[in-house]
Amino acid sequence: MGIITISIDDELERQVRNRISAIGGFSKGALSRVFEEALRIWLSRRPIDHMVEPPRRFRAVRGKRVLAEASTLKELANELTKLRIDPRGVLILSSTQVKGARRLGMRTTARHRAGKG
Amino acid sequence: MLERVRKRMSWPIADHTAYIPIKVHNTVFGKTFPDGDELLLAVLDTGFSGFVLVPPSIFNGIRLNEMKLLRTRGILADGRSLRLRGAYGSISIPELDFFEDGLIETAPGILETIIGMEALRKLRLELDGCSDALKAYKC
Repeated sequence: MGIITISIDDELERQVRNRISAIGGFSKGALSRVFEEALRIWLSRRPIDHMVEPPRRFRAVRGKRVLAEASTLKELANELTKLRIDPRGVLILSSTQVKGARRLGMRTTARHRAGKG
Repeated sequence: MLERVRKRMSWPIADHTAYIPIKVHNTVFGKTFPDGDELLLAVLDTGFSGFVLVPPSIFNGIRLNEMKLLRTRGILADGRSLRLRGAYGSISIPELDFFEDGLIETAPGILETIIGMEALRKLRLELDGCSDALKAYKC
């Protein structure tokens, strides 16, 4: 068994201890089991985006020519200002493609009894 | 230094609808809606695969209509198709210090602001039907 010393927020620790007490009280290893479960859940999640996906790029394009490129829109806007390019004259694209059609959900508004009219 | 406690917010679910208070930005033109401390209640719609859909008045209000627009298509649950137009902008959730760039879309007849799955990729959300609350924090 590995032994890890960690420090956590006081309030979080209080909540964890209260929850353990509420569901059957403290026993030997109760706290370790909670953290083990938390770590298993954390490991089962997908890694955060920047670890698996290439960084996103925004490009200002005129015709086929890329006039400016940056990793955020803010940086791209600054770059266009620096190059004295009117943003209205360029098409801004993202390296993350818009995939096909958007699915749009549907909302119900007023609910009436079905009937005439 | 890593932030030890992540900002976490909880918003009430009203009328069976979960709302997220946001601001919409035309980051290129430096325009924001709404101004000042006000926030726009965006409907959380997990059935919308896009980023954010706004009414034309907001889209035009932050001058996204002045940019070169991208044309996309929306498919409704009943199979009907809707023409959308969009431009890259940003949304922020001030209460979470959250800021994200993405394609902001609109179409004639859109009356509400809808926040879709693409905007939620870097958020962890808990829909708590038991206490009618939507809880959120950044990944």
